[in-house]
Amino acid sequence: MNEKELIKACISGDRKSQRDLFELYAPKMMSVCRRYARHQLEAQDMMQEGFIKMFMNLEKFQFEGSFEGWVRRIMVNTALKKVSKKSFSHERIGIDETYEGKIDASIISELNAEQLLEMVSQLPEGYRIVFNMYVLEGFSHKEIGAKLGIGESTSRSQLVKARRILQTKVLESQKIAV
Amino acid sequence: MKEDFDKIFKSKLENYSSEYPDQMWGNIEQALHPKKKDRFGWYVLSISILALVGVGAFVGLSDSNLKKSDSAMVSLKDKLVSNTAETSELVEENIIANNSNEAELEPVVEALQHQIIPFEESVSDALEPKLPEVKEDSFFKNKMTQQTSANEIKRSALIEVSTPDQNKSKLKEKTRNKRTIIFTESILPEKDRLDNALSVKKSNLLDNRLNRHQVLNSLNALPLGIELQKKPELNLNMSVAPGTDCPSWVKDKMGLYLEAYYAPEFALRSLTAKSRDSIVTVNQIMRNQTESELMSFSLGARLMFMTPKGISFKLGLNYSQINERFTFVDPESIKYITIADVDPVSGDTLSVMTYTEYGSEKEKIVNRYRSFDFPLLIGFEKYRGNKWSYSFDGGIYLNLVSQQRGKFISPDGTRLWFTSDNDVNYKAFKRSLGVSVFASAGFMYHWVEGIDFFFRPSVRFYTQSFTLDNYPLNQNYVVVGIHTGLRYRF
Repeated sequence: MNEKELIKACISGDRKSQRDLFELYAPKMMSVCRRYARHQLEAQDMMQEGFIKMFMNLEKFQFEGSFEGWVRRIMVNTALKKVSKKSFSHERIGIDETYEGKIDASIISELNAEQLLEMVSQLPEGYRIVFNMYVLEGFSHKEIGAKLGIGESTSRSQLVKARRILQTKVLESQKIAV
Repeated sequence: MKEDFDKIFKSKLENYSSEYPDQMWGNIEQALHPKKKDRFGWYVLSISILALVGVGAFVGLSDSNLKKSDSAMVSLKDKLVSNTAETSELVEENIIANNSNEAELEPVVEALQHQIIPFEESVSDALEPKLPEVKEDSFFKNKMTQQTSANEIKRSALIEVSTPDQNKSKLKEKTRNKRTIIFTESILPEKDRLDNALSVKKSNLLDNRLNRHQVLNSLNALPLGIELQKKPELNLNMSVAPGTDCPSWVKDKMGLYLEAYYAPEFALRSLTAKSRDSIVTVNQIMRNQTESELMSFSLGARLMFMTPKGISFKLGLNYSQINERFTFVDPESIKYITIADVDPVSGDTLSVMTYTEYGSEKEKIVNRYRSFDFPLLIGFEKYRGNKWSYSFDGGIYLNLVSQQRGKFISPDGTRLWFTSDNDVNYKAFKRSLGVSVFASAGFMYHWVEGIDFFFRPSVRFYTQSFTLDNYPLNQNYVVVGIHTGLRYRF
């Protein structure tokens, strides 16, 4: 059964097909949700809610473009519903200074996906959302500002701060490794 | 450089797969294909209880003793007729027992004798061919055989005859040792008269005025010529309805009463989604996970008017409170801590630092749903003996006003207060809950004069959802409890 037939079977209410479709995309969507959530439990709630919403609106998929992209957008929208506006107010990160220099890309390449994912999920909420939307989803600052109800400049500053924190974390991981 | 940084993150994370819990599909499937709540069961339960109340009232109103009395009348009549000999036997026993010597027995014997002799003589010839051994004159000539003890008398409603197989000596022994009194045909007309005297009219039974006096008067009609010394005991096996043997407070129960009660209760909640929207379904799941039942209660007072038949009409005021616990755990909550360095001398702020602290936050709140209601009930009460009565109540509660206080997970997933007296809070619940259906069945105990204690298990079904029409979930309740209290009669 190809993807189109599987989707049609799901629309008709076939439970086995629905389960197969879920298991096909659940691992990737779990990663998406982990990047946006504050913790594992919240990521699971996001993914569960996202898949329920996906199945409820499956008949609206027009079979134009990537189905995975369509599901991913649902997951991101579900995650964004949980974001509070206060997450984008100015956050100070304690007395530790962030690294503002440049680091070698090879250092980052040595880290595996799980380590990078962990670093992203530890970012403060506002920085994390903006970083994910800009770097991984490809939204512009204007689009991010429109979706989150924040200004473009706020989006830019949040991204800068997110990169600094991640660079710091990467360097720290290198020190530990050494 | 920034681009390289971003590209590396994107390339490594874009298609990365993570593990997820096994039960996740089960939760999703349940949300997509929810099992229908057994609302039908609640309707059946409510209707059954109301039917029970109605049946109880019907049983009390219709006199089931009528049916008992019909059969009792028949059995009574038969018993009285068939027991005439026995009662006479008892009478005679009493008479004999009261007479200590034979000399006093003589008048008794003589009186009976007058009844026996004419028949004996007429029967003797007829019996003779059948009773060869009784051809002996001794049996019929001696009207009474001698007896050794004044207290031993054997009676029979039948003519005592012996068969050819009967041992002659045995017969002699019988007649030698015992005084035999035979009720003969001459006394049979008296039986008919007794039948008529003792026949109990149906109306008498309905009025439950059957008593021993009628029977005794009829027994006195027996041609014994002697006033009864003792009254025989007749086991009529009839129930005695309120009449001569009921307490006065049962016979005279019509009047005005005041009831005050307290009822510990348990509220069974049903939370159902109004639409199949995924957000609604998730909200339903989250609310069920974060809210749990606690002990609830009702208290109030009712004015009651009771009719002589035990039917009551009640109205009053009721306060009910449904309690639930809201518990929410945020395992990675963010707390912002600001530390200011202040010069102790000048009071100037030297520096400010803000820390971000991650930790687990647990929130526990008791949610309360309060309501004032106007109960309108019909009841039925019946006395069962030993100061105990059973009672049934059924009717409606008209809600006057309702109020809520507490916190829940709102449809957009945030924790919000829904307290009704604050305009800022989330508006989810109604201020008026309409009509609820109530039924109870239990016991009353007559404690002291004018005061009764009652104990009535109850059930109350709210016909309307507690939530507003624009709220995406229906929130319904069935409350079970035990009404306990005191009743005072004016």
